Amino acid sequence: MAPILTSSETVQFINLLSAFLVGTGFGFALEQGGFSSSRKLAGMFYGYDATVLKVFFTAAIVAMIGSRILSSMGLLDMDLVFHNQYYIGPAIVGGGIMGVGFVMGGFCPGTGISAAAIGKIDAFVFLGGGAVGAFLFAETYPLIQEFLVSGNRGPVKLSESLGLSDTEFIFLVTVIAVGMFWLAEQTEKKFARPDITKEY
Amino acid sequence: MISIHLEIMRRKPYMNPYLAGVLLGLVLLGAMVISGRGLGASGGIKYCVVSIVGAVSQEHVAGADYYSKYYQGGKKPINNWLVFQILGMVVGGFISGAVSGRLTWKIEKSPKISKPRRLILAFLGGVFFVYGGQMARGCTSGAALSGMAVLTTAGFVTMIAIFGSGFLFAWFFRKNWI
Amino acid sequence: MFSIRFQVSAILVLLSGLIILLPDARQSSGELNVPGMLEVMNESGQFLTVDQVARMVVYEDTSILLVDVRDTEAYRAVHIPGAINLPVSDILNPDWSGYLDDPVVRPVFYSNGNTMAGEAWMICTQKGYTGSYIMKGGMNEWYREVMESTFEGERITAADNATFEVRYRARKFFNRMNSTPDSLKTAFLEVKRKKEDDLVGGCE
Repeated sequence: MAPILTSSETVQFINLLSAFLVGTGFGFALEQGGFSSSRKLAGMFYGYDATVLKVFFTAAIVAMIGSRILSSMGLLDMDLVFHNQYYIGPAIVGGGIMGVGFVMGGFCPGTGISAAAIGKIDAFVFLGGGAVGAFLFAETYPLIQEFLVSGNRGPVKLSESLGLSDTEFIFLVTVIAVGMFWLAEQTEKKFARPDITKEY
Repeated sequence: MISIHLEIMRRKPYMNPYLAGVLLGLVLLGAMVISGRGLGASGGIKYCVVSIVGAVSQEHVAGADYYSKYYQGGKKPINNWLVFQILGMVVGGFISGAVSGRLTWKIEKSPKISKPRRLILAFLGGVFFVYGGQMARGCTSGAALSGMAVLTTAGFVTMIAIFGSGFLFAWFFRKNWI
Repeated sequence: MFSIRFQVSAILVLLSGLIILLPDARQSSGELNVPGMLEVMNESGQFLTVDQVARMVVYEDTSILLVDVRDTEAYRAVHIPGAINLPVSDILNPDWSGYLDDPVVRPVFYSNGNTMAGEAWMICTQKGYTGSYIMKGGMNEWYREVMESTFEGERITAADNATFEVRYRARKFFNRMNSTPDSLKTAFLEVKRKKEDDLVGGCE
């Protein structure tokens, strides 16, 4: 039963090789979707390009549905899949800081890497800043340590908090996302900037 | 031979976003099936930085709680799933760029601002993003995307916080882009 | 000609609607739903009544091992004679796996009610250690039935007679064991700790 490589007996080499292969698919998919262009990514916040929304939600929903199907068929053990823990304060504040970084830099680390891979200089600089950010975090860690572990609610699922079953929740998210896709395309038409979206 | 070369060099349009989303979703699903974890990028950057700091100064590492936990038990932080994943991302991104004819040295920005200014903002953007990412225990791919795929509240909250904040501050940086 | 957006959206909505019909994925230990769980267990025979446990205690039945899953203080204050203390929060500690996985001596979990014992049972069963039991009603039921119940009625049947006889004997045993000084109780605890290696016998 999947996950296949959770056992600590797995040879380290195979573990890391699988990480490399997954990463290759990840970078490929991001670049194909146009995420190697900072102007395209930033377009999300100015209305002329909602690619981020479309790709992001489609990907999340495909993974949600796929994992649920595999799990129901007994092919994937969701107990062994990582569920990230909910720390209220850090999630919100950290997310807020990331949002600022997003509109300033026009990238997130994943898209930054795929953009750097095709030669975008602003991506290189973004990643350089990213390394500094990681270093800053490491150095200021003692100051914010307490905040970082505050508000832990455990790996709580939103479906549970809303009182829905997992599948009902997935259906709801899918329907909402489809609505957002339609809205996004209307917005793109209204705020269109063909000069930006045509360049690649 | 020449015609193949030209074929590769001709710029191709980006993949339809919905199809790209399906592709990305399948990659994420693959990651879950293979290793029980989702995707992630900012973590890989962290491990690289920790390795470099360790290489530069072992005493600094030993003296700090944050660093020393990555070296416990003689572990080398560079031998980490996330590091190899981002190496793969570089290769994957390159291949995609190569077959789509998008390989190019370029600084993307609005014509309204200068190149240096764009680069300064890119740098600062990186600092903010990875700092916030470490705080929220993941970036858009690590916490938000992978979190949403397993339905965790943290995933959705992080996503809303990132995009909400982005929309809030977008006006201040509009010259950068449009 | 339907746009790609329409096609992808339609397929996803259809699939997400269909999966609602799929059988429930196995419940993870994070979603413990006590009433539903008790129902399932009742049917599958994982419960032992307090009287059955009392009988096994009184006759020193070695086919079961009583496991008190409450915290150590509660255990030290009072516990059923012969029970070991394994707080449910520590249940996945590999030191204890020997006890939990023993096919010959089956664990019987108990707590004050059914919740913690049920949790322990759930975790162990999912880990693959089948064959464990829960003492239904826990210490509360034990007190109610075994320790404090009295027969009320005119004539007693043979079955009831036997039941009450076991109860009286269990009462004496319980009171005697639970009034031993703490130091003796702790020694009792230490001696019982064994690792999995000890259990796996034969040609390694």
